[in-house]
Amino acid sequence: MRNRLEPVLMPLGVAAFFVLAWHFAVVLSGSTIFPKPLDVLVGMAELARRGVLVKYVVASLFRVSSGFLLALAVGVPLGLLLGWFARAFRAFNPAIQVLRPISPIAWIPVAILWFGVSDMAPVFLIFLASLFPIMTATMSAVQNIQLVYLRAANNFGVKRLTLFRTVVFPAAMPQIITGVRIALGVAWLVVVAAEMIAVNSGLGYLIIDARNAGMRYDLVVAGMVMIGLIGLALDLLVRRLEHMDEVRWGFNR
Amino acid sequence: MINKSREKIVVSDLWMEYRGNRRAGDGGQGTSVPVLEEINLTVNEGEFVCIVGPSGCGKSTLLNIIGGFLKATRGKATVDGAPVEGPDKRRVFIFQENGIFPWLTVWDNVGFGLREKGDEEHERVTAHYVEMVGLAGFERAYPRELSGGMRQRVEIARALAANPDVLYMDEPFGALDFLTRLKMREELVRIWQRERKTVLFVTHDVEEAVQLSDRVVVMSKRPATIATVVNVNLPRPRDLDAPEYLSIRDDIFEVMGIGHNAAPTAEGDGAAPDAADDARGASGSPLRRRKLDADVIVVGGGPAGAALGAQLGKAGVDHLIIDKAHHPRAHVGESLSLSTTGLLRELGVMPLVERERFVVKRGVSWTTWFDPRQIDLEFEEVERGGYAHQVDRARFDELLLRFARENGSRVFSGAEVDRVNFSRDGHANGVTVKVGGARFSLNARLVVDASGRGAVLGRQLGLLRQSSDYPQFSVHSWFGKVGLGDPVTANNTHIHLLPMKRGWAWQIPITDEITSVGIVSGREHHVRSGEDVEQFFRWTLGLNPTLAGRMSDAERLSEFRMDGNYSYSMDRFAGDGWLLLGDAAYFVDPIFSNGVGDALHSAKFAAGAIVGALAAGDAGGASFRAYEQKMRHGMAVWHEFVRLFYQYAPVFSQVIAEGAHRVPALRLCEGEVYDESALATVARLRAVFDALEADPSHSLAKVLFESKVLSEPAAAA
Repeated sequence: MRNRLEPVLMPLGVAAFFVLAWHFAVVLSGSTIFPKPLDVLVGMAELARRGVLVKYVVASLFRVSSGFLLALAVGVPLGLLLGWFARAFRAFNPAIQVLRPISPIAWIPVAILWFGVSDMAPVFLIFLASLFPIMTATMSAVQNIQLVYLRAANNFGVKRLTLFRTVVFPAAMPQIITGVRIALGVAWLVVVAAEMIAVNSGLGYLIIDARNAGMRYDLVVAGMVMIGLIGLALDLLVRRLEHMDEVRWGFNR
Repeated sequence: MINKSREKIVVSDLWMEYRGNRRAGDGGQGTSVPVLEEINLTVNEGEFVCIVGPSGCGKSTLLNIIGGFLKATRGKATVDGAPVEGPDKRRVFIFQENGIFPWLTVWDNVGFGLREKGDEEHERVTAHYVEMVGLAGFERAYPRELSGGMRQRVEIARALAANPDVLYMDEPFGALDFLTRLKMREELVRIWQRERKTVLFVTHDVEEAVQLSDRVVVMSKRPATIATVVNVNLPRPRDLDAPEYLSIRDDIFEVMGIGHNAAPTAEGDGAAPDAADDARGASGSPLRRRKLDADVIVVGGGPAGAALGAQLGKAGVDHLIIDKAHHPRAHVGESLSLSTTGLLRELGVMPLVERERFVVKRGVSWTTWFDPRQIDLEFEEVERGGYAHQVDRARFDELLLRFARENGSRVFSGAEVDRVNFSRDGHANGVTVKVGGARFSLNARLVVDASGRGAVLGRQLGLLRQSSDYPQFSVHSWFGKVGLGDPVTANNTHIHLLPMKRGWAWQIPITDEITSVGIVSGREHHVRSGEDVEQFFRWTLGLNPTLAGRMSDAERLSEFRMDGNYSYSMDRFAGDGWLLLGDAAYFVDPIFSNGVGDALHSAKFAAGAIVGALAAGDAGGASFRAYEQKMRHGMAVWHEFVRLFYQYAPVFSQVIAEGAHRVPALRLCEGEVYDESALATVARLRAVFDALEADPSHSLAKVLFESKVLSEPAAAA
């Protein structure tokens, strides 16, 4: 009984502690600008009543999923190919390594220049941000496939496309999923930053807007809390992938 | 039977060098390491050939070249006359590191080589090979859910399903533990005999090679050449103790430069030389087997064997416990007597026992069918704070064996002792062990039989005598929601007497929720064939109102089990180089539930005798005479005490409880039968009972008389 509840109770307890600390810190400091937890809740209710909460969340999620899926569609095949063909890898890898460390935030001006103030700019940024983790994870996954699997496949006469489908891809899958998880985390980080600049909807926009249009810090923090909660939900979602039968062998057995 | 004429694989004048790294100083040429030199080898169709050689000699390299995974520097390998250009699905390679795909189920792995076949054939062939390697029922399992041995069987099935002509096996069992290896070899021979593929098998294990193959190719150290080829014309499955087998094996060792008495580490498989635990990590080589020899071999890892092991370990005596059970034993509840607590404490295992949180028992309670009062005998009266435990034997036995291991016992589990071996002059000198179809012998100076009621040695020597007393039968199970009576005595062992000949029932709480309840009776009252066990059980419970009340809401948690408890003893308990322990020596009616107590007692006495005998260098029967006397004394006390109980069962508890002999009698009940004074105590008790029966004025005498009348009609019911 106690054991079953513990994994829920302990984190809730810690969270409750921080919320309380926050509350009393605001009360004791006498701040009139910084909101108490309850103010944030009220702010959130207000946003919900005005119908913008759902709208902004959907807008942010839409951008993230577009950019992210695009990165997945490009990154995985590219990673598989570069991981498999050593010469292609040697040719492309330096370029990739130059582009990879450039923060997606640094791309914002370029994105605005290319795509203007539209949905495309943040989607592009998210695409860039998630492409590299997915691609590099896929490449190294392919390069690290245990030789014995390839030999066995070879022995049974499996060639080319079939080899990719039946052996290379499934063998790389666990590491790809790890890359995907990292990529999604980064994508969610970037969407907020992107929305602060280039668009007029979304959670990032909410934060900047609430501050600029009347120092509504209760709404600023409400936006922050939403970002945190959705980030948690996304991570839990991707973690479920790790429990699929086809990839579980690759994780902490 | 095998077509020896057709050449399948031919290797001619094959050389192999590995290019080293280029370094400054050697002119940029790079060093090259010669690996194989002038290899010539022919394998015929349907032949099973093993390649053995020291680790790192290049035998794996040779197999990889023949398999098409590596290119030779010079020379070539041909299969069916065509040079090998690369891997081929007609010749499947089985890898040491296990090459089955972890993302596919057993079924999909086995069917992997059948992708191009039609659905029906795919299905049929896959099912056939899954079945052949004994994995039916595991089709939907993933490799991570399987043991190492099972995974290797999947790989073999995957290879066979593709219907290749040739199997290349590169130390396929190298990563498996000793027992699994033995079993896998047996399987492989069975499969090969059925399928008759050509097999080329690389191993560093000479024993394995001789057990499996038609021919053994022995390679030298690197750069490797073929040192010799040895034919093994022995019928399969091979007897690992047959002189022909041993002489071939020793010839090969000779060639490899490992003499008879070479150090065990010469067999360089990297296994720690004393990875004693379950002999895991051991190779099956004879060198290794010598490693399993011991001064004392203990047959059986139950309480007697484990307790002896722990004591021998503490005394620094080299010994090996051979235990049949590989998997957890069946769960049977048992009430430990007070005397076991002292023995467990002496042994030093009590902290471990306490940690298991077994039910603590502080006394014994008796009820009868004619008197609603319960009679409680508390251990407190015998010993201040005295207590014992009600244990789940599976957990208890496991714990004792673990304790023995911690104290230096080597335990070889999953092996069955087939017989005890004797030298020509009748001195026990070892045992023959059966593992996975293979038999081999282990040597010892002294063999201790602690095999329980299996009584390996007693039966082998024909020493077993059934005692005429009381053939008793029991039917029992585990129950939930049993009423335990007064909370103070709830955890006591309860004996409920039944108005039938030698009838009684036990009630033993095993955990807070589970209670073991069993009914014991003479054969004439026991369940007859065709009779409903449940009905018999219910009806019998009803004979004792207290018991019936406690069982009114009870729910049965497991199947009924039935046991026959024939008392027996061996004609002798020890001889030249051998000793019998616990139930392997004698067994008495379990009314006082002292199986474990007797086991621990005998282990204690035996440990002393053995340490003395080995120190004196004489393991002859004379060294164990005192041991045998001590044991016989205890047995005599038990017999007399049990006889007394059954003779006066209805009033037994009352008389004991009321009489002046309450404490000595309780001591006997609780297993202190090995004391010098015990026999006198029983005699005094008998006098008390006899006097009572002769005194018609005594209230209990009447009960006794009536019960005797009463018990007879019950027999007809």
